[in-house]
Amino acid sequence: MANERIALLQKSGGKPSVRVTIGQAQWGSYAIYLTTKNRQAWETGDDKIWKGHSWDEVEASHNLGMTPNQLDGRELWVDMIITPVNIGDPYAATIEIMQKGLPVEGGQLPPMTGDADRRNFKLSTLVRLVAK
Amino acid sequence: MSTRAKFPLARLKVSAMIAIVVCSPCTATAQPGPPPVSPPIPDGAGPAGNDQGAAGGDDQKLLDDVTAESLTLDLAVPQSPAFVVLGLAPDRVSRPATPREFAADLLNGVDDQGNLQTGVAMDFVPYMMWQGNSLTLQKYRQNDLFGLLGLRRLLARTQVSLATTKGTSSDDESVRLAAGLRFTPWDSGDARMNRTIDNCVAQVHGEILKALNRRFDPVERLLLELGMGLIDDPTNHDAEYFDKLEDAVKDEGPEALSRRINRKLMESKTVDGKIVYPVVESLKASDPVKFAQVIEQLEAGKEVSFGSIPTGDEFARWESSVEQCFDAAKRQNWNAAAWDLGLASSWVSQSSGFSDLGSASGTFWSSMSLNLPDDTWWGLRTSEEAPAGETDVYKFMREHFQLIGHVRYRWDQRVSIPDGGGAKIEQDDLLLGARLRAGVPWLAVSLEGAYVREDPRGQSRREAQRWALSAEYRINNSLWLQVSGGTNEGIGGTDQGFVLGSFRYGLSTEAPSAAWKAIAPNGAN
Repeated sequence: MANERIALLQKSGGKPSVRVTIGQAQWGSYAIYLTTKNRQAWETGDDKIWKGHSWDEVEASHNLGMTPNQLDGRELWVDMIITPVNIGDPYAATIEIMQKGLPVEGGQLPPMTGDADRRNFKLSTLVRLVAK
Repeated sequence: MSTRAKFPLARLKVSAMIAIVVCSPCTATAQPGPPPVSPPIPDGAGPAGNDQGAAGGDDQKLLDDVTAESLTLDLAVPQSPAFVVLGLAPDRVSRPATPREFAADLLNGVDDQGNLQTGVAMDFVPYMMWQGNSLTLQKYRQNDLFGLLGLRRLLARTQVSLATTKGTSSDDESVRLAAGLRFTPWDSGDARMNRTIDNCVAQVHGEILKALNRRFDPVERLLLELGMGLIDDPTNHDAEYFDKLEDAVKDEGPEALSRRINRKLMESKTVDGKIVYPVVESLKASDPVKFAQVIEQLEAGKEVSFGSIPTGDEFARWESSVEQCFDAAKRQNWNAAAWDLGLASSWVSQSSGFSDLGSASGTFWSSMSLNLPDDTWWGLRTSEEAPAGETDVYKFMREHFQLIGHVRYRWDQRVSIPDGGGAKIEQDDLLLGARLRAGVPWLAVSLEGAYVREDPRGQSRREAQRWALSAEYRINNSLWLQVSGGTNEGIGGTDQGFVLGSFRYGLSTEAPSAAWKAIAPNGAN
């Protein structure tokens, strides 16, 4: 598909990681889910669901714990809830899929920005992972 | 709707009056901090615009117009200093959030010939505009470079305002331009620094994420979003998914929404003699197996299942839960210590070009609010508990008192000479003000004093001072008595005392006055 959102993983690039940044100094939480290869179901193991907050002391980067070959054909879903200090304040969320600390081809998603018009502003995005 | 009536009843010293104010129902919205009301000190010679803190008019007029509530000095630094120095209260303020929007707004302020356009009103935080997308809450809280203050935080609290307006009279073709800066080096009540909000918000966020994701398998979610028209292509997905789901659930209810989505999925057309389902078709390339299953279901007249779509009540509860997190923090911070600074300068161009742009006037503000310190004064607020070892008396004072000091200096103000036939002169003026506030659930008291000094060019210095004490007593949940009294020693030789009283009646349980809401401690509204 012309506009398909695909992150190309280098087979020899090591285990990929995902970094979620919820900016504009707002409260934000996220959960990263992985589908099975045929997209029939979510992976449900605790080690295959990654969660975090914008106020966490640790950097919001999560190692997916699988090789590019194991991830090939799966989809990564990221759900985010953003709570602005004041309703109507701007929000910003960026997602990067990286190998060896650098974004992979197609893995640097454009920032999702706008004004959060409610207390629980919710965004989601998904990326298909392809190993090459 | 409200009705108001005033009845002058008595005189104290030179002039005094009682005002009975009735409003039914009374409503008020107020932010924590000094109530934004008109100042009572008659400095008698404000700038051409309605500057904050410049009352203008004579003393008697002031007392005739005033209500008890309005006898509170505005000791706050204005949010947009540039608007204030030009005397503007623009209906539409541009708040660019990206450099691109900023550039576009800036270009709108200049015409093709490079002349300044009037009607520009911009308000923005440069750091958030350029770096805000990568500024997480965790980084905002870091204390780096500036030690305890935190450089990022300081920059994120620095706001710039720009404004233009036309000359002060109808035959004045000049253009006035103002630029202002407002920053807050210290704010112990900064909501972003309040860690007690973290846990509260995290709990609700966790509930939403869990509830919304586990109810749908991946394909169901894609079909849901396709059917709702959120995305056209499941492989090019970037949706404000939950928000639109929330709106749709509220509008239609979960069952009606599910039916609507199924109707959308079942929309078909005939191509080359074959029935095609365009919405579901987008699944074909990326997931042919699931595509075939869905088509089979649709052709058999079966509805696609969407697990359990949340109810509108669930969304409303989540929204309300988070709102309560912030309300609790606001009440906790009503008397928080903070220091605000503001600076604005204005320029005038007779030709509306930049070549003859000349400096006109400027204003500097500084406000400091203080309460008794606890362990949250300089760092993050991490607990609602009182610090260990704190006595009950100290805790009471810390929670119920606040002292505010304010200074405002204006230079090169063009003011009308009294009885001067419209002639104007320039003057500098200084306002020093202070207020002590205290509040318990049934009583709010405010004591304030102010001093104004004016230095008109070529004329002798003028001074004024004022003291006022106001109290607001809650008789019951819907009736308040408000009393203010004090003295004005005005510029121009007036020397007046005043007492003002108001009964306020409200059908709602909301406190009627902004002053009360600002001052009331936890749960006291």
